[in-house]
Amino acid sequence: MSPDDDRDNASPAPAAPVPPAATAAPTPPRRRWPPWEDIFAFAWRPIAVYTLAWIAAVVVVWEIIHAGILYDFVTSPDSRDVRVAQEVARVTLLRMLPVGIAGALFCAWRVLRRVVRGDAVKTPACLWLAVAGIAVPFLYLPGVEYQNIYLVGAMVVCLGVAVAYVLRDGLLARPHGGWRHWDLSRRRAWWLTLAAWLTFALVMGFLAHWRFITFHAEPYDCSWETNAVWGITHHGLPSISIGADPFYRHKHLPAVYFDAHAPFAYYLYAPFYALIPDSRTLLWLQALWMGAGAVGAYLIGRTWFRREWAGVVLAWVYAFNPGIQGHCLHDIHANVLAIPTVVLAAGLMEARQVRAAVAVAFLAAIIREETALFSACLGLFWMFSRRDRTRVRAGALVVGWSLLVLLLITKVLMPGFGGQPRWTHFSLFFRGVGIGSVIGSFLLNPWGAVMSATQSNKADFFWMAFVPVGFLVVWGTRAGWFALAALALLVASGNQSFFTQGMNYSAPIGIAATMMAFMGARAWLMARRNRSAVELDANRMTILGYLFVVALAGNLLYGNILSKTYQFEYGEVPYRRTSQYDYRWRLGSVATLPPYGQRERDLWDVIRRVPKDVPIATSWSINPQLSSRDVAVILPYMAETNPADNHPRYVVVDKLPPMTEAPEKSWLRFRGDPAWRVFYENRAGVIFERR
Amino acid sequence: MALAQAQAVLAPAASFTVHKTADMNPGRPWLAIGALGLVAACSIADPHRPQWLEAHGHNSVRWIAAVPFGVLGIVGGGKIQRYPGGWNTPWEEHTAAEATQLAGNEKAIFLLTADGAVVRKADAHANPEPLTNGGGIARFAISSTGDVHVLAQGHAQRLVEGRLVDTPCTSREAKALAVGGEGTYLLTTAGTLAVETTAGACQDVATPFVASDIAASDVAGGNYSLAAVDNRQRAWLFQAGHWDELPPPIAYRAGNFPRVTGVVQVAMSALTLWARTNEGWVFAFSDPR
Repeated sequence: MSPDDDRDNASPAPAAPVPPAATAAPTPPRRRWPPWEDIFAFAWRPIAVYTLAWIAAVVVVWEIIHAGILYDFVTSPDSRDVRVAQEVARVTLLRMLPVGIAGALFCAWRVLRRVVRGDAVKTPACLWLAVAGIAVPFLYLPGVEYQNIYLVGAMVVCLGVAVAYVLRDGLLARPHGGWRHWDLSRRRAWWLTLAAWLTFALVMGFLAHWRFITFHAEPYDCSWETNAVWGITHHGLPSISIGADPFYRHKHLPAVYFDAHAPFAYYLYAPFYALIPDSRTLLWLQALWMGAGAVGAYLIGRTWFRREWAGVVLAWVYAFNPGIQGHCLHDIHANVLAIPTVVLAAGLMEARQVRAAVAVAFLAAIIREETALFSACLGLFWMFSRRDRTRVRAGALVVGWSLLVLLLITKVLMPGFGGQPRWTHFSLFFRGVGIGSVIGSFLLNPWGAVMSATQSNKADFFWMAFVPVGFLVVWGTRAGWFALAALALLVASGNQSFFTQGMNYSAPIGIAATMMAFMGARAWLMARRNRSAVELDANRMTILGYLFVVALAGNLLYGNILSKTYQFEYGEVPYRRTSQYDYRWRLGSVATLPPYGQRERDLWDVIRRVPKDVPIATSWSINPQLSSRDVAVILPYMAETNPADNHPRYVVVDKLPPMTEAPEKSWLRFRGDPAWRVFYENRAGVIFERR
Repeated sequence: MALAQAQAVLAPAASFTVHKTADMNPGRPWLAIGALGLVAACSIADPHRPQWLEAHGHNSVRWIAAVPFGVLGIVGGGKIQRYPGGWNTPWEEHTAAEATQLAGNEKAIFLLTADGAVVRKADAHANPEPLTNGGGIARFAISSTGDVHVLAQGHAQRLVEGRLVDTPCTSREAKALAVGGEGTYLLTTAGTLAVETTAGACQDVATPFVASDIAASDVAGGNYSLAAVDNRQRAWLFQAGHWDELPPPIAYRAGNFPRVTGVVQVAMSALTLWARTNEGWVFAFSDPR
């Protein structure tokens, strides 16, 4: 059904027939009913929708009352066992149904009466909200968003479409309303955009901080990246000790990190880290940087949709994106910073700040070894958007710079330090290993690439990434350049960690989904039949309203701001401390944040007593908290094969529950070793000192 | 120091649930921004309430034993698994052996075979070494030094050089036992506890519940010393001279609301208390207090 149909419905029913001319004494005109065909034609649609809405309302109430059996009710409709087990509840639903039918009959009677009288009958669009609302109780069930990805995605889209339909109907009903000329002032729009940024940074920064102080941060990669920034501030180069086992067993620690990664973005962190040398500094900076993409989204939105409020909507859509939020909780990584940087560069270009846009795109290229691919995609987008010569020149410049950076890092810098990009993460090659082989596979065996891209874990991942942007990505082919990096880096990989939203490896999809969804909304608006300025304005609000609703729903399901759960831990089990809801053993979400109690305070007391500037070994769970130093290896490795001055002089062991690794064996080992003595111990941890 | 102060401020400030949403009135952006600080709607677990954390993988086991490297579980089919395992393998196969019960310490694992004999395996790959001549053993426990205590025909005995010798509590009819720092604890068939003290006496241990299982640790300086399960499938922990009833383990499963489960077995190592639920799921005790 379209709004146009409704407007047809809204036209008056056939006029009552003219009464026959009076021949005798005047008698009241005898009422005649319109032909039944006319009654049917004008009444069937509202009656059907009222009936659906009433039944849906009854079902929703029943779903809420019987939420405990709802999961099986929806997901096992063909199971006899489930039917038998739910017999009583199903009978209850059938008994409740007459209430809905009575309501529907009452509404049908009112509709028929109006039709018979010749009054206008219009189907209230908001009834579709009740119909779509059937999905809501199911969406609130724990863990369904990861267990039933496709069903949940379809439900979110239905809800978004219903809200958009109601919105459009309401707007078109008031073609001369003030809404057409409403917009935000530039100042207010900026405030609301900054609010989106701040919300993102505060919430994600707080959650990352909480993970850290409750010992849920992981050595891989909180310790790795903290080591790197420590190395920059103390030695001028990113360096590592956490990876001594197994990567740097025979090198002097800290070893230079450039053989594995080239995280130049960390040089921007370094001044702040030098002031407060702690991982929490990096976590807050990361949240702040990741949120900065909201500004880029605002600049894109206000230009593409020619309304300030549209920019604000896109800024919030960016802030609500669960994948982008998740990158702040997968410890610390440089490559994810490319997402806000590229979006910001794109926004600056739309705001005609060409030099700033190119400078930010240059920055995106040098963030880490692979991020030049993302900036190259941005350059291609500018080059082929065919707006003006300035864009073509800027795009060519960025593409050239990106290729140069890519070559220098992967062919000169990393090999110079004895390393190379991690090709072990990838599996889709044509012949041999390398970027050429990946491209060859796509070009020469495209159906093979399709086969690879549609494996269940990859299909799940792409679906989940597209839900919070309402699948508008499909219409955003003009921004398809951003998908190139995602194709090259994601489809080519066989590692499940690449296909878990929020894990740093999944970063390429963040840029593609964001930019293509924005472009998709724009393309959708252009493609609509905007027969009048009123319809154009209504469609703009409708499309952006849809995008906002699905973004909210995506955040509620998969995100962290006012969401069902916190997507709290990333990494392969059991390398996680919490254990509630799980996605493919890579992502652990929790309904409640872990506590910060006396045990945690005691453990921090232990950590604060560890002598500075000496090599140490730690148990797994507390290595991130002790990673701001030159040498902090993880037990049971004691840097035996590294030079003697790297050998730990202190060993720090926690007494937390052994969800990740069991520290008890280290505790027993060192307390029984005469070469070590207890330096400090409390109920939460212990420091051993070499005698 | 600044971080420590910030942390001290953050922790109590966030220890309540906030249900406010942002005021999005564009006419008052400062108000919106101020309110946005609350939008995390933080729901933080009570730092004064202990909880159980389920071992990853939702493994269902028939028996558990606490060991210094985690927990061992009998999964049937002649397999014993350990948790936590390696990368992407929360439960990893530890050894292959048919057993109905097991226990372990730093040096070895001990198994009770189906015919009621106790055997010892020095490591996962070692051949089993019989410790008792015959069967008839219903339950056993070991100390951290490897001393074996058994229940034979319902009575507690100690294994000394391959022979079973009586202990001060041998006269009591028992159904479970555990070796703690104070001595060997017995769970009598009546559901009461008794301890064979190191001084050679058999003393009753007062409990506010009727017990169905016990676990203890004899490692000095550990986190826990004695735990029990009552006949309502609730776990109890003895600490600071009195018994604390622990909250029940909660199982989180997709599509279902969090569900309280009952404890049927507890196992204890020096630093960790483990529980096995009536559905075979394994939980580790976590006490932030």
